[in-house]
Amino acid sequence: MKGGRPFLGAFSGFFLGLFLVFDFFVLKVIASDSGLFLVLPIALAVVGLVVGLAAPALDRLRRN
Amino acid sequence: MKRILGAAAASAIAVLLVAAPAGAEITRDTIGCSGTAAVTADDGTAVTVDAAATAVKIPRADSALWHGEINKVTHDHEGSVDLKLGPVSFNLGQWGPTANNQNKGTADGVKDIPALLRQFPSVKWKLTGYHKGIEGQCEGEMTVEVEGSAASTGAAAVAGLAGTAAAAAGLVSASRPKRPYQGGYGR
Repeated sequence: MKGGRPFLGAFSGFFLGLFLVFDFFVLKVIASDSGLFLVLPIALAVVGLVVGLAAPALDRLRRN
Repeated sequence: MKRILGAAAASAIAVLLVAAPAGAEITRDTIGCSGTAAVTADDGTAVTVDAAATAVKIPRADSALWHGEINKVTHDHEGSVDLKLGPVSFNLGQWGPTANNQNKGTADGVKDIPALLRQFPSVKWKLTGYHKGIEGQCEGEMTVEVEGSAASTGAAAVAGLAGTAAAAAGLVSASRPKRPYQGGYGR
Protein backbone atom coordinates (compact mmCIF):
# COMPACT_ATOMS: atom_id res chain seq x y z
CA MET A 1 0.00 0.00 0.00
CA LYS A 2 1.38 3.38 -0.91
CA GLY A 3 2.29 5.78 1.84
CA GLY A 4 2.70 3.25 4.67
CA ARG A 5 5.73 2.19 6.65
CA PRO A 6 5.54 -1.60 6.79
CA PHE A 7 9.25 -2.12 7.41
CA LEU A 8 9.32 0.33 10.29
CA GLY A 9 6.19 -1.36 11.65
CA ALA A 10 7.64 -4.85 11.45
CA PHE A 11 10.99 -3.73 12.90
CA SER A 12 9.34 -1.85 15.76
CA GLY A 13 6.89 -4.66 16.43
CA PHE A 14 9.67 -7.23 16.59
CA PHE A 15 11.67 -5.22 19.10
CA LEU A 16 8.55 -4.33 21.07
CA GLY A 17 7.93 -8.05 21.47
CA LEU A 18 11.55 -8.70 22.35
CA PHE A 19 11.67 -6.01 25.03
CA LEU A 20 8.28 -7.00 26.43
CA VAL A 21 9.46 -10.58 26.83
CA PHE A 22 12.65 -9.33 28.46
CA ASP A 23 10.57 -7.25 30.88
CA PHE A 24 8.44 -10.27 31.75
CA PHE A 25 11.61 -12.32 32.23
CA VAL A 26 13.22 -9.79 34.54
CA LEU A 27 9.98 -9.43 36.50
CA LYS A 28 9.91 -13.26 36.87
CA VAL A 29 6.56 -13.52 35.12
CA ILE A 30 8.02 -16.09 32.74
CA ALA A 31 10.92 -18.54 32.93
CA SER A 32 13.84 -18.61 30.54
CA ASP A 33 12.35 -21.43 28.47
CA SER A 34 9.04 -19.68 27.79
CA GLY A 35 7.68 -19.93 24.28
CA LEU A 36 6.89 -16.23 24.47
CA PHE A 37 10.55 -15.55 23.66
CA LEU A 38 9.79 -16.74 20.17
CA VAL A 39 6.08 -16.09 19.77
CA LEU A 40 5.73 -12.50 20.98
CA PRO A 41 8.42 -10.86 18.79
CA ILE A 42 7.17 -12.66 15.69
CA ALA A 43 3.53 -11.94 16.44
CA LEU A 44 4.17 -8.25 17.08
CA ALA A 45 6.37 -8.03 13.98
CA VAL A 46 3.42 -9.27 11.94
CA VAL A 47 1.11 -6.83 13.72
CA GLY A 48 3.59 -4.01 13.01
CA LEU A 49 3.81 -5.02 9.37
CA VAL A 50 0.03 -4.95 9.03
CA VAL A 51 -0.24 -1.65 10.89
CA GLY A 52 2.44 -0.15 8.65
CA LEU A 53 0.70 -1.36 5.51
CA ALA A 54 -2.66 -0.11 6.71
CA ALA A 55 -1.36 3.26 7.88
CA PRO A 56 -3.02 5.28 5.08
CA ALA A 57 -6.37 3.61 5.70
CA LEU A 58 -6.01 4.12 9.43
CA ASP A 59 -5.27 7.76 8.80
CA ARG A 60 -8.43 8.12 6.71
CA LEU A 61 -10.43 6.50 9.50
CA ARG A 62 -8.92 8.90 12.00
CA ARG A 63 -9.89 11.89 9.88
CA ASN A 64 -13.49 10.76 9.33
CA MET B 1 9.17 -27.43 29.22
CA LYS B 2 11.13 -29.43 31.54
CA ARG B 3 13.75 -32.00 32.22
CA ILE B 4 16.98 -32.00 33.93
CA LEU B 5 19.47 -34.01 35.72
CA GLY B 6 20.05 -37.12 33.95
CA ALA B 7 22.64 -38.97 35.75
CA ALA B 8 24.37 -38.22 38.85
CA ALA B 9 26.54 -35.50 37.60
CA ALA B 10 23.85 -33.87 35.58
CA SER B 11 21.52 -33.26 38.41
CA ALA B 12 24.13 -31.70 40.57
CA ILE B 13 25.73 -29.55 37.93
CA ALA B 14 22.39 -28.18 36.92
CA VAL B 15 21.60 -27.14 40.41
CA LEU B 16 24.78 -25.22 40.82
CA LEU B 17 24.60 -23.30 37.68
CA VAL B 18 21.77 -21.30 38.89
CA ALA B 19 20.71 -20.00 42.16
CA ALA B 20 17.68 -19.13 44.40
CA PRO B 21 14.23 -20.63 44.72
CA ALA B 22 13.18 -23.18 42.22
CA GLY B 23 11.55 -26.45 41.47
CA ALA B 24 13.12 -29.62 40.19
CA GLU B 25 11.58 -32.56 38.51
CA ILE B 26 13.04 -35.79 37.24
CA THR B 27 10.78 -36.53 34.36
CA ARG B 28 12.21 -39.90 33.48
CA ASP B 29 14.35 -42.26 35.52
CA THR B 30 15.05 -45.93 34.91
CA ILE B 31 18.46 -46.10 36.59
CA GLY B 32 17.95 -44.30 39.91
CA CYS B 33 19.64 -40.95 39.40
CA SER B 34 20.33 -38.64 42.31
CA GLY B 35 22.62 -35.77 43.07
CA THR B 36 23.48 -32.86 45.32
CA ALA B 37 25.26 -29.57 44.96
CA ALA B 38 26.88 -27.50 47.69
CA VAL B 39 27.27 -23.80 47.09
CA THR B 40 29.10 -21.45 49.43
CA ALA B 41 28.27 -17.76 49.15
CA ASP B 42 30.81 -14.98 49.53
CA ASP B 43 29.69 -14.39 53.10
CA GLY B 44 30.40 -18.01 53.96
CA THR B 45 26.82 -19.23 53.94
CA ALA B 46 26.73 -22.80 52.63
CA VAL B 47 23.69 -24.30 50.95
CA THR B 48 23.24 -27.87 49.82
CA VAL B 49 20.68 -28.59 47.16
CA ASP B 50 19.17 -31.97 46.37
CA ALA B 51 18.59 -32.54 42.70
CA ALA B 52 15.11 -33.92 43.37
CA ALA B 53 14.05 -31.10 45.70
CA THR B 54 10.90 -29.21 44.81
CA ALA B 55 12.31 -25.92 46.06
CA VAL B 56 15.92 -24.84 46.23
CA LYS B 57 17.69 -21.69 47.19
CA ILE B 58 21.26 -21.13 46.15
CA PRO B 59 23.32 -18.06 46.91
CA ARG B 60 25.48 -16.26 44.41
CA ALA B 61 28.86 -17.98 44.25
CA ASP B 62 31.79 -18.59 41.95
CA SER B 63 31.61 -22.36 42.01
CA ALA B 64 29.76 -25.32 43.45
CA LEU B 65 30.76 -28.74 44.69
CA TRP B 66 28.60 -31.40 43.13
CA HIS B 67 28.05 -35.10 43.63
CA GLY B 68 25.94 -37.46 41.59
CA GLU B 69 25.19 -41.14 41.49
CA ILE B 70 23.11 -43.78 39.81
CA ASN B 71 21.75 -46.96 41.36
CA LYS B 72 22.15 -48.98 38.20
CA VAL B 73 25.60 -48.58 36.64
CA THR B 74 25.41 -47.63 32.99
CA HIS B 75 27.82 -48.28 30.15
CA ASP B 76 28.44 -46.52 26.86
CA HIS B 77 26.78 -43.57 28.48
CA GLU B 78 26.62 -39.86 27.91
CA GLY B 79 24.74 -36.85 29.16
CA SER B 80 24.55 -33.10 29.34
CA VAL B 81 23.06 -30.14 31.14
CA ASP B 82 21.68 -27.21 29.19
CA LEU B 83 20.26 -23.81 29.98
CA LYS B 84 17.25 -22.84 27.93
CA LEU B 85 16.63 -19.28 26.85
CA GLY B 86 13.63 -19.07 24.60
CA PRO B 87 14.21 -21.26 21.56
CA VAL B 88 17.96 -21.45 22.22
CA SER B 89 19.85 -23.87 24.45
CA PHE B 90 23.25 -23.20 25.96
CA ASN B 91 25.30 -26.19 26.95
CA LEU B 92 26.59 -25.90 30.49
CA GLY B 93 28.33 -29.24 30.68
CA GLN B 94 28.44 -32.63 29.10
CA TRP B 95 30.09 -35.99 29.54
CA GLY B 96 30.69 -39.02 27.40
CA PRO B 97 30.15 -40.92 25.34
CA THR B 98 32.33 -43.23 27.39
CA ALA B 99 32.35 -46.98 27.87
CA ASN B 100 32.62 -46.83 31.71
CA ASN B 101 34.65 -50.03 31.90
CA GLN B 102 35.42 -49.24 35.55
CA ASN B 103 31.71 -49.62 36.36
CA LYS B 104 31.61 -46.29 38.13
CA GLY B 105 28.27 -45.33 39.57
CA THR B 106 29.19 -42.02 41.16
CA ALA B 107 30.86 -38.80 40.13
CA ASP B 108 32.06 -35.70 41.95
CA GLY B 109 33.55 -32.41 40.94
CA VAL B 110 33.61 -28.65 41.15
CA LYS B 111 31.68 -26.60 38.63
CA ASP B 112 32.44 -22.96 37.97
CA ILE B 113 29.25 -20.96 37.77
CA PRO B 114 29.24 -18.90 34.54
CA ALA B 115 29.90 -15.21 35.08
CA LEU B 116 26.83 -14.33 33.02
CA LEU B 117 24.56 -16.11 35.47
CA ARG B 118 26.25 -14.53 38.45
CA GLN B 119 25.91 -11.01 37.06
CA PHE B 120 22.37 -11.35 35.79
CA PRO B 121 19.40 -10.13 37.83
CA SER B 122 17.35 -12.61 39.78
CA VAL B 123 15.26 -14.36 37.14
CA LYS B 124 13.82 -17.81 36.51
CA TRP B 125 16.27 -19.96 34.57
CA LYS B 126 15.26 -23.30 33.16
CA LEU B 127 17.84 -26.07 33.15
CA THR B 128 17.41 -29.43 31.53
CA GLY B 129 19.62 -32.46 31.69
CA TYR B 130 19.89 -36.12 30.93
CA HIS B 131 22.09 -39.16 31.33
CA LYS B 132 21.66 -42.24 29.24
CA GLY B 133 23.45 -45.50 28.68
CA ILE B 134 22.75 -49.02 27.50
CA GLU B 135 21.03 -49.93 30.78
CA GLY B 136 18.66 -46.99 30.86
CA GLN B 137 18.37 -43.27 31.23
CA CYS B 138 17.10 -40.44 33.32
CA GLU B 139 16.25 -36.88 32.51
CA GLY B 140 14.77 -33.94 34.26
CA GLU B 141 14.39 -30.24 34.51
CA MET B 142 14.83 -27.53 37.03
CA THR B 143 13.74 -23.94 37.38
CA VAL B 144 16.16 -21.88 39.38
CA GLU B 145 16.49 -18.28 40.33
CA VAL B 146 19.87 -16.69 40.44
CA GLU B 147 20.11 -14.58 43.54
CA GLY B 148 20.49 -11.13 42.08
CA SER B 149 21.29 -7.75 43.50
CA ALA B 150 18.66 -5.02 43.61
CA ALA B 151 20.94 -2.84 41.48
CA SER B 152 21.27 -5.34 38.64
CA THR B 153 17.54 -6.10 38.69
CA GLY B 154 16.68 -2.40 38.66
CA ALA B 155 19.11 -1.64 35.85
CA ALA B 156 17.74 -4.49 33.73
CA ALA B 157 14.16 -3.41 34.36
CA VAL B 158 14.91 0.19 33.39
CA ALA B 159 16.75 -0.89 30.24
CA GLY B 160 13.88 -3.19 29.30
CA LEU B 161 11.25 -0.50 29.85
CA ALA B 162 13.25 2.06 27.88
CA GLY B 163 13.54 -0.36 24.99
CA THR B 164 9.84 -1.15 25.19
CA ALA B 165 8.95 2.54 25.10
CA ALA B 166 11.24 3.21 22.13
CA ALA B 167 9.85 0.26 20.17
CA ALA B 168 6.28 1.28 20.99
CA ALA B 169 7.03 4.78 19.72
CA GLY B 170 8.33 3.27 16.50
CA LEU B 171 5.15 1.23 16.11
CA VAL B 172 2.99 4.32 16.64
CA SER B 173 5.07 6.14 14.06
CA ALA B 174 4.57 3.29 11.61
CA SER B 175 0.81 3.58 12.03
CA ARG B 176 0.91 7.08 10.51
CA PRO B 177 1.23 7.49 6.76
CA LYS B 178 4.14 9.19 5.11
CA ARG B 179 3.43 12.83 4.42
CA PRO B 180 4.25 14.25 1.02
CA TYR B 181 7.02 16.82 1.11
CA GLN B 182 5.39 20.19 1.67
CA GLY B 183 8.43 22.35 2.07
CA GLY B 184 9.97 24.03 -0.89
CA TYR B 185 12.90 26.03 -1.92
CA GLY B 186 12.90 29.75 -1.52
CA ARG B 187 10.27 29.86 1.21
